[in-house]
Amino acid sequence: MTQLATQTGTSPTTHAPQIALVGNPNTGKSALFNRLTGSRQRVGNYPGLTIEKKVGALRLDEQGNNANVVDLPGLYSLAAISPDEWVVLEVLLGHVPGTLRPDLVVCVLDATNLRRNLFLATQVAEVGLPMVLALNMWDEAEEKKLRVDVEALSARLGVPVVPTVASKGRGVDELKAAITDALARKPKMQCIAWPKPVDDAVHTLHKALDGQTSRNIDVTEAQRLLFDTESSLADELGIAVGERMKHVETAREAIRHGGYDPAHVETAVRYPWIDNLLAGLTEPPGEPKRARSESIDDLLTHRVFGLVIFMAVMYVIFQSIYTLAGPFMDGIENVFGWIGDHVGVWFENSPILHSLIVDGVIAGVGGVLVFLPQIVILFFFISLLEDVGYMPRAAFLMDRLFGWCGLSGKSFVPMLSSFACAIPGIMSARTLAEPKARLTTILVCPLMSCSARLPVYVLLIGAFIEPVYGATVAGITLFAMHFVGLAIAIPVAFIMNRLVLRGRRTPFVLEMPPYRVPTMRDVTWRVYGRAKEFVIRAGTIIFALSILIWAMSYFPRPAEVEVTATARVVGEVAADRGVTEVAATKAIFGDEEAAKALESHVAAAPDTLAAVKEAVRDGRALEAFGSGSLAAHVEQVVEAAYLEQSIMGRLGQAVQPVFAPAGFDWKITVGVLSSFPAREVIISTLGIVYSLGADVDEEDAGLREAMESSTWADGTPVFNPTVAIAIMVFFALCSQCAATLAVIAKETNWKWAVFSFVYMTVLAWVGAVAVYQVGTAFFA
Amino acid sequence: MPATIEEVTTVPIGKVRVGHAGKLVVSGACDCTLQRLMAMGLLPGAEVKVIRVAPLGDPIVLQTRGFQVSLRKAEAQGLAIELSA
Repeated sequence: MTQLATQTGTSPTTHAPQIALVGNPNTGKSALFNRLTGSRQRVGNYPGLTIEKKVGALRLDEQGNNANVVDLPGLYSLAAISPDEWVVLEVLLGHVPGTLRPDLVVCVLDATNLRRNLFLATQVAEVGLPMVLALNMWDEAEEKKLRVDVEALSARLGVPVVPTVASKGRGVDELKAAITDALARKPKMQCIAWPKPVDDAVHTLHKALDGQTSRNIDVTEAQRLLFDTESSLADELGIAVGERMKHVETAREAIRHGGYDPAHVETAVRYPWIDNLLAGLTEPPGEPKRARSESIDDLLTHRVFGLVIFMAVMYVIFQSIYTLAGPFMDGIENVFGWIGDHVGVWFENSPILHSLIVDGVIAGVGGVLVFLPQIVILFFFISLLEDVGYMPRAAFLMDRLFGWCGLSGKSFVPMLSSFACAIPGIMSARTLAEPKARLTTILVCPLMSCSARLPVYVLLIGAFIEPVYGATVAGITLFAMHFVGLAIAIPVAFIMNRLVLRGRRTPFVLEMPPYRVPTMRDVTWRVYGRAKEFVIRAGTIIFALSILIWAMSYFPRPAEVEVTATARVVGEVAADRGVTEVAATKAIFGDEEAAKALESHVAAAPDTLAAVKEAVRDGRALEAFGSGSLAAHVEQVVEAAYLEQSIMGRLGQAVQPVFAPAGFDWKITVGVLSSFPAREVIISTLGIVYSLGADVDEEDAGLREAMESSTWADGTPVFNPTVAIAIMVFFALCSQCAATLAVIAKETNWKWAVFSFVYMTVLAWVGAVAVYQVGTAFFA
Repeated sequence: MPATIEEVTTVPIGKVRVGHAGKLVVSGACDCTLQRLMAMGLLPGAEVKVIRVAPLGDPIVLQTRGFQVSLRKAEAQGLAIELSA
């Protein structure tokens, strides 16, 4: 390909220069990106794709002129096998909506592996954009005594070549200078002169396909269709399979005719060219001594010790999220509780505003930030392990376990993390380059029994399993519940992979990079980036949903309810203690003044209950009085009454028939519905519903008692071991975490978030019903 | 001087024992695995050594000029190594 791409339309010069960063994986490209853009980074999406789009701003000079840098995914070649890999070529050609065609490409090369890294560089050169080469990991090259004649290389290629050490920040200024210079001078890299038969075949194919698709095809795209045995680029270009294959086959025939094997011609031409280029410019390493990395690997991938160490590492990560995050999460909850109390004072006069601000907004924000400790901890470990180079080894060890259901060993960390919390787990699935495996992993992660399910298990097992079957069985049940999700996840992953997610299988070809000492700076950077992303992208959705759920539980709120409920309690107390309503009111509210005020009302009205209602309506009865336990009880009854007739409560009653086959009554149903935003809410909801107030926890004896004595209209108890297990199975499998859905939506798209919600809820319902029906049939 | 003939056997990559090396031979069609490997720099005819097998039997790790790469036996069926005795 001696000619440049046919795209003549470069971006208009009125905008900031666009720079693209390309390179192999494991070349420190991201570290270099961080050095160039600093804190001016953003993460977004390419339309319709699952890979992330990382952009940042590079300050070119002191006058505020910036260039936009986009960090393209690391690739070994522009050949697009997996469905997302074509984006690199397409960005370089300017075909991706929302991303301007780059004005300059900075190709990041690993100086210790120049030959292989130049393969991609020669492909990129043919796109025809100005280039700058960064020889990163220069320090390692020096250490290995790989002398590279940078000036000669630059002269031969015709583009600036800058040695850098991104991890230490060396060479970055020189690179910036080279970039600024290149934006002006536009140096293009020397291209390969292809053998005539190949060149002709590419151009013939290009002419044949051009015009057959929705837009013009570039020569480089034609080249890719020709060279790549399996290409998702073709699907992307929308060429009908039959037509395409005909032309491609013709072109391939032409190449064979010219004496070359089309499947191997690219490597057969590029590598010798590269070897020729590098001749005399580098001193190849002598017979390598046993690399440090290999010795470490002997231990870390050892048949026995490798697995043991791996388990230990995973255990540390898991425990950190599960345990270490706890105090921080409690701290955050306390802080927000404190804020709620203090801010609440300002809104005392307006109950609606008070509840909105305290229970809606503040609780909502707190509900987002409470996930940060888990996210920060998990990503700290993941970034550390990634930078060290351990992750490919972990994937290597685990692959056999995962490969058969369409996942790969790389799915292990996301799934394990999800046992603590699915949110950081799903976010970490981004490391899976294969879209199909990634999506399957993301859809399956929420099935892992996260820490929020634990209170539900503890409550139900403690109330209904342990008293009947003893502590040992209770312990086993708790342990078993954690594995319900995992056991279901395996067939689900298998089915997803086979039926739902069509797509090319990407081969498991994973490089084992040498072990490197991680830079704390880069690790911290990545952790910060993830945390920020979560708060901004997912946090907004979670917050919005919290407000919605708050509204559904709060409204409608007619004052009548409070009056009636209060009157009811007064009546109960009076009957219970055999006193008059007035005396009961005195006992409840404890204030002589108030009681006197009530007495005057009572004297004026013969119907005492109505009188009490009148007094309460007057507004003086409830707020001004003491907080004795009876008064608190009244408040709780009122809260329960409000919930029952709120939108949420009515929904619970309306939906209850759906859950009847699982043995749920309307209170359980309300509990289940209200925990859709967050699982642990069921505890406080049950507290409210059973008139115990929202402050109960899963070990509250009062709650247990209330549940144990709860009956249906005909007197049969609502709860028994079978129902308890049905509820637990429901919680094990159901999608009840708005935060998780928000994260799924951000990592993939809304359709998959909805799908995840639907499939899990249906699965949960089926599970609960099955457990209940089978259980009552066998044990009734 | 007696002439020594080197015994050359071609073994599918999945069956090569750890520690054995030889030239990479492509015995099947060029599929994605091979395409990926070639892009990474592992070319037919290159010297390659099987250095590791995962504890569960699969995948394996190959060492070749400049780097190490892991692949699944099932996906590497078109590849073989011409072992040098």
